[in-house]
Amino acid sequence: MTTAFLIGRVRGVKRWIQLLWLLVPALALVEVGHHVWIESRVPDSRDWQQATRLVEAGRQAGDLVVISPWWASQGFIWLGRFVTVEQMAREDDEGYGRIWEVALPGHRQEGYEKKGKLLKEDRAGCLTVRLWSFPRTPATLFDFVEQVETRARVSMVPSAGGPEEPCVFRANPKTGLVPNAAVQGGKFRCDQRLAWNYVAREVIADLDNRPRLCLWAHPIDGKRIVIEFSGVPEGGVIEGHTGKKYEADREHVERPPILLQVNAAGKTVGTAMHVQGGGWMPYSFDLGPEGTAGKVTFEVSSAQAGMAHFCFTAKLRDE
Amino acid sequence: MTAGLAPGPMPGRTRIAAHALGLAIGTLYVVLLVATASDVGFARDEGFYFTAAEQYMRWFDFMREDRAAAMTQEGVDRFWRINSEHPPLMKVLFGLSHKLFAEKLGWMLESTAYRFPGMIMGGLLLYLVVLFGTSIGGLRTGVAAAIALALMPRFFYHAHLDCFDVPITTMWFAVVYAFYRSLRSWAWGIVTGLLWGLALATKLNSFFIPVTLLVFWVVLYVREFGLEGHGDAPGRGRLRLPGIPVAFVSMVTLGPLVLFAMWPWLWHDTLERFGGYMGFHRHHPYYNIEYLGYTYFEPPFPFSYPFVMTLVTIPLVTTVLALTGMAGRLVTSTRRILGGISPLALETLVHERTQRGITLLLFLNMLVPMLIIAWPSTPIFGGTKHWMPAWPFIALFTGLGFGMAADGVTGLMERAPAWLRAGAGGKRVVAAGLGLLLLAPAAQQTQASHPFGLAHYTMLIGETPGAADAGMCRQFWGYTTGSALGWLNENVPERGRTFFHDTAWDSYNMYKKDGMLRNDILWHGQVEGSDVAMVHWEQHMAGYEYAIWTSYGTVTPAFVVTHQGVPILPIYVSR
Repeated sequence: MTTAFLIGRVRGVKRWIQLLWLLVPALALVEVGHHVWIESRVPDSRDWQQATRLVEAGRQAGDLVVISPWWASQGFIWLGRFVTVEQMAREDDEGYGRIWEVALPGHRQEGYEKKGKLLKEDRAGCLTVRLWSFPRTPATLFDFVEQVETRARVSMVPSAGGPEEPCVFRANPKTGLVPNAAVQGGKFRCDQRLAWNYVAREVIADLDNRPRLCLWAHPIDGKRIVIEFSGVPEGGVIEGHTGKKYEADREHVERPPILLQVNAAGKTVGTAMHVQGGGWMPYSFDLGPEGTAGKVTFEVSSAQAGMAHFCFTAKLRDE
Repeated sequence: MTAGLAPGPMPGRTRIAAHALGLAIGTLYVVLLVATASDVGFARDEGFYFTAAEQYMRWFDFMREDRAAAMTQEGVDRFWRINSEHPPLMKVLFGLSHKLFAEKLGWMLESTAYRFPGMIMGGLLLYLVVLFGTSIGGLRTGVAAAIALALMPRFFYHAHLDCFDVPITTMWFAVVYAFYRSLRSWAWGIVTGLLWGLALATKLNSFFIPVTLLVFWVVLYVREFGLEGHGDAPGRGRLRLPGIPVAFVSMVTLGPLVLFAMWPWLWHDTLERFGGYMGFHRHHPYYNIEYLGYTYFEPPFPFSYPFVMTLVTIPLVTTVLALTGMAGRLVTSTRRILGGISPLALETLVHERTQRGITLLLFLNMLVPMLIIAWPSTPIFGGTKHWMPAWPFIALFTGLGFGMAADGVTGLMERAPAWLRAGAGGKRVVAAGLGLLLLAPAAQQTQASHPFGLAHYTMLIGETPGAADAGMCRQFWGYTTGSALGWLNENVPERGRTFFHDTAWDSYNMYKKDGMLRNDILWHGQVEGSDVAMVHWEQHMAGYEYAIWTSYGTVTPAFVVTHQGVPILPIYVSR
């Protein structure tokens, strides 16, 4: 190969490289086009109204309505009338036989495809409306969070022994000025001097800042909070979640765990342990052949109660 | 003055054109900012500075009435204690502007008059960028750099505010520009010191400017540091230093004097109060900032934060051109340093000799503000504003990259078929067309971002919906109330108690003073008991929305302010 040949080859390659400059204006066109594409995928109020009409036409009692992605909550301006606070703050999607999913372009709920069956899919402008069915949904026989105000007795029991201290249910005033008024008729007040020392239905923001309707049961030093339910039907499993308020659970500090001991038919069926930073933690305890014998007790305790903004859910299921 | 290093003077015609174009771009920008100011709601900090500016003006009134009393510690403390955690320059300017343009002339809304000095600082920065850019890469570089900066969506947002972030960006850039000029002129050395004093009186970031310049000087002159003498010669072992720039002497002496002179708060108990100022920022609580799905609220903060945020908030073409400009500068500098390898063309060589160190100066001033925030223990107070002083330098690289791209594309024309080839005039037309095309995405992004500057993201992350998917911060400062005023005025019941969430009390008052919010709408400090409640959506504040649901008994918002379909401000009405 001669030097002239090599120089020629290098010049040829250089010329081709020079063509790369055309990529710069091409990129500008792509960026402009990308923005137009993004804007075209933003649903307007007509799209939401159309989706709402589709849901309304096929909706049955007990159906859940969700939006994908979760952040597109402006859709609840129209769809909100199909959703209760309790549903928005549900512990998970289990237990719903049918779920309506209204989705933005390119979005869908993770996991629905694996567990459920797509019954139908319609377009509403740039939105997609899907109806999912979940045929193998375990039946909820008793929801302890739902029943706490009518079926529970709450007390504090000193860990070192001593008399039980009853926590008295006090109904909220009817003024509507009370936090959690929509999900809570009142609170089981324990030590009146401690504003946080009560048991009640509340919606908290968990570690992922998701809303969770649960039983607030902040442990107290040296005592166990005991929540006793009677008249509980028979069932196979008690399951639920434990969590802490966002500000308390996110702290990067060593804290002793919070224990939730579940007793049924007079014996302990399991203890859920909420560790610091655990988030929304599931638990499930098999009741065995003894079942509930009509009585279930939850005992909440911790070696150190500081910042233990604890909350839990519990459901009795058939399987 | 340090001989042998410095920019050469711009040719006369170029200099005049640079000044003229810089002034035109800066002025147009200020006009645009004023015209769009009332679209942008008042940020939390703006509210505090409205009030502080008003207080400081009262001290000047007091001065006119009783000078001696105003100078006493009691007289100073009465007016200058408020917001003494920040230096006063901009707040004084905000107040003066308000007095002139709102109170005396009545030309502007009260809020716009307060904001006006910040806008002027934005325009001034563009003017300086044209000058600096022209001196390092020609008029084309300067103009492209200034427009690229003007059309960075978050810069455009911040340039509207009566805050310190754009002003300190301007001051930082001005000090560096003056320092660069001072390498040839001792007079500019004096100016550098005075400007740094003004920067000190603007915002805390200014303390990092001399550090950056010192690193520049040491690296550039590293070969001239050494030990004197050989063998047993007298004076052997003495440290040999290159000539100390006049600018450094001026900064050390004039800078603190200017700060002291401008800040009455320091006139009494000076050391203690200066220590208090420093201590406030050293022990400042950490704020919450959402990044890639997680809200950081304590160290260690992610090192990648300022770099990724810069990439996903600046228009992509602007970034690509900046990277091109950086690569070009690095290649040129490397070739110059390595000498014999791929020698530069004579013209380039002459140009480079007049610009020794410019690549280093630009890189340092681009990287240092970002590295300060990238340091894992540095608090991240919000978004991109804290490393905004880096952005004019990114823009300069964009300008350089634009020049390379324009040369590259017009160079291709020489290989085109004869009918496509153009003369010098035709090439200029092609370069101008290319300029418009390359700036189009930035203009489009800036237009789309307004008035939601802090919520807006660019193509690399899929704009704002992509950022919501990725879990990026949607806003802070509670400024988006401004985008819901029309709805509030129409829908809040008479004397309706309204929970304004993250909007500051002073900002709420300013909406009323300017007649933007109905006068009977009442401030209510909590969700419970309110008639209307809103949530400035940030991940760590989601609990406020749940509190509204459970208090109002509904999950149906009455109105939601959105940006590109992403909720920014849901508003609920009590049943």
